[in-house]
Amino acid sequence: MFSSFGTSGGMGKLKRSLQGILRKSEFYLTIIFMIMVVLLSCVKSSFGTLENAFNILRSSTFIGICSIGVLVVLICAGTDISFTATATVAQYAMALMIIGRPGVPIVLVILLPVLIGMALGCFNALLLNWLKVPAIIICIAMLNAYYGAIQVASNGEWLYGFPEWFVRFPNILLIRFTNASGVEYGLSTLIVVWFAVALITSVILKFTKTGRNIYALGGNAIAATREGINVNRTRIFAFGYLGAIAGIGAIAQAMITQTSAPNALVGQEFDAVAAVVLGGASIIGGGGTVYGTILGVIFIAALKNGLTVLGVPSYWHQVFIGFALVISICVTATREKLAKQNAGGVTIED
Amino acid sequence: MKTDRFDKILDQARLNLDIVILPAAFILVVILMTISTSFKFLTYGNISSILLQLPELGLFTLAMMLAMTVGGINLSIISTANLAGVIMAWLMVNVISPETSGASLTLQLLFVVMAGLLISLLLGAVNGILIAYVEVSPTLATLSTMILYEGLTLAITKGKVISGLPQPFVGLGNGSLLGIPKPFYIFVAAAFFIRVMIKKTSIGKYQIMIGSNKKAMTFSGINTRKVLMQAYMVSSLLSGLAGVIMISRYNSANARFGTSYLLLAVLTSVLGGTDPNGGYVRVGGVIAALFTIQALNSGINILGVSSFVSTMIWGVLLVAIIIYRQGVARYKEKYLSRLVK
Repeated sequence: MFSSFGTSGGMGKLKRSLQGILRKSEFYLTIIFMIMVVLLSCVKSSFGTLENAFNILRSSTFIGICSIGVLVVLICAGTDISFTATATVAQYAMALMIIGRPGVPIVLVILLPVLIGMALGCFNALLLNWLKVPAIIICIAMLNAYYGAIQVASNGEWLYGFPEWFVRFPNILLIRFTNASGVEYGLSTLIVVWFAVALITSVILKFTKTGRNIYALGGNAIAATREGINVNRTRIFAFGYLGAIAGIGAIAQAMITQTSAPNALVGQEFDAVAAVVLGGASIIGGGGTVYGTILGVIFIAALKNGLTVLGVPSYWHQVFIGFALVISICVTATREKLAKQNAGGVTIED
Repeated sequence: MKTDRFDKILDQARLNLDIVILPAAFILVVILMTISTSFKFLTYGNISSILLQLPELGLFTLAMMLAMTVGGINLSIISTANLAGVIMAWLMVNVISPETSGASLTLQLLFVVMAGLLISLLLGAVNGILIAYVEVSPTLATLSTMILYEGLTLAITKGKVISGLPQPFVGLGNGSLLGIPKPFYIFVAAAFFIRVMIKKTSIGKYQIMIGSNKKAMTFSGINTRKVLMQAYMVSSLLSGLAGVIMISRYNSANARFGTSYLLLAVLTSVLGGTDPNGGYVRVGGVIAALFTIQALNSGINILGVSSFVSTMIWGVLLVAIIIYRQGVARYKEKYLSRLVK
């Protein structure tokens, strides 16, 4: 106790910022992640290569992009699992347009799925604002409604035959390496798109009024209302944003697989939610960072990859992810409870 | 005097209009389905197949209803049923020797089923601990355990199907007694038990109270954690019972059985008058809703509609039902305030 009085101003600042880092769950996840990577690399040298790292990043692009949108919704309103269906609708519409008219402007190819995603997301939020039931119930309903509709409308047919630029774009490597057998690998454009989305979201969450409103709404909806935050509008923004991001994820996914299959995306919604929760996003709302979410996605992908490298059968993977998830929510919730007790502040309830 | 009583009944009916309408909705569905399937709907075979399928959805719906009553949701109902089911199937295939027969086989099967139900109680306790003690939101807690339980099921089955269960056990799911499928009796017993619990015991009263105002309950000195634990454990027990019926009916167990029941369980529970925000529940209403939804489901199947069309229908219907529920709640409020005046 006395030593803290003795520290000079500069030292105190350093200490405080150090304590700040130590209080963040992302810090601990980073350490656990690093330990896992080091251990796996020691056991299997093929795991800890740059090539494997880029492969892991590339294969988790869709979940990675979507999970950033899921984070935004989770911070302010609850759990949305309908975005995979939204992405499917957006992707199929884009594929129909691009294959039907190969000469269509690139801007339109990008804009269409984003706008469709945004519209469907906003519709979810409108329903939520109107009906005032838990978000998960509306999202279960809309997941099935959108998914059933796209399956019926598409007759389950897969779409192929994208134009050349669409095939070439994801294979552009911004940083290029060549492995021993002469195969090129490196930083794919899609990974850059993922991190660009992450950066933009991070800026929105941290530095704009809307972003602060999102945190405030998740932290305490009643307090937020009394401060004059428009709850309904903030919610529409969050869900619309997730929809738009799901649209971007859908484009990336179509670029990786070069097909648009109506049944390819639905079923992955829980992976994204798991990644966000593992990344330390608040269990009761009002907290969570883009960095944590990216870490959560990479953590799960690396864990799966590592288990495969170790020769653990794939039917065991979900057990590991499930345990990681349950431990993670326990840790996050306990920390939140302790933080609340220490703060000793006034809680506003209706 | 007589008109007085009649008025009272009318008042009651108006106050519970949403529940009173359900049997009418059921009859309407039956008539519509009978006409559109040109009387294939009302055959003995179809009716008994409805009664055979109803218990599974019914038990899942009751499980969902309980979680909703305490202001939560239980997304892990299906994976709980499958995990308990797979463990039971594994025990039956690997532990009970094929030569066993007669009373000793029955006794051993009984032990296995007890073990399965005990495991489902345990899985429910995990949900309960996460929600009541660790204070994780029910959505995220049960979503996480759903992933974990499904993972464990996959690990036990190695992603395959366990099949070839002992004959007497298979008879439980497929046999019938007095012309009615045996699983239906199990469901009736479970529904009766739940109704008594909610209506007649303090456990049920506390469950409803916790759903409507948790804070007030904590201040009145009631152990809210215990109440939540009980609710999620009973919810899981019902799922485990559904698991028993499922593996016995299919004569096999798998990690991915019955995944479509999750949406239907939410749908039926809400249609039956359970408030998704907690604090209001009608077991009778839920059972009436169950018959309606099961009849609709069976009719849709007979009509040969693709599973995706029905997926879409259920999704849209759930939203429609929530809209209808809110309308009814508003009407009720208005009517009550007029009565008070």
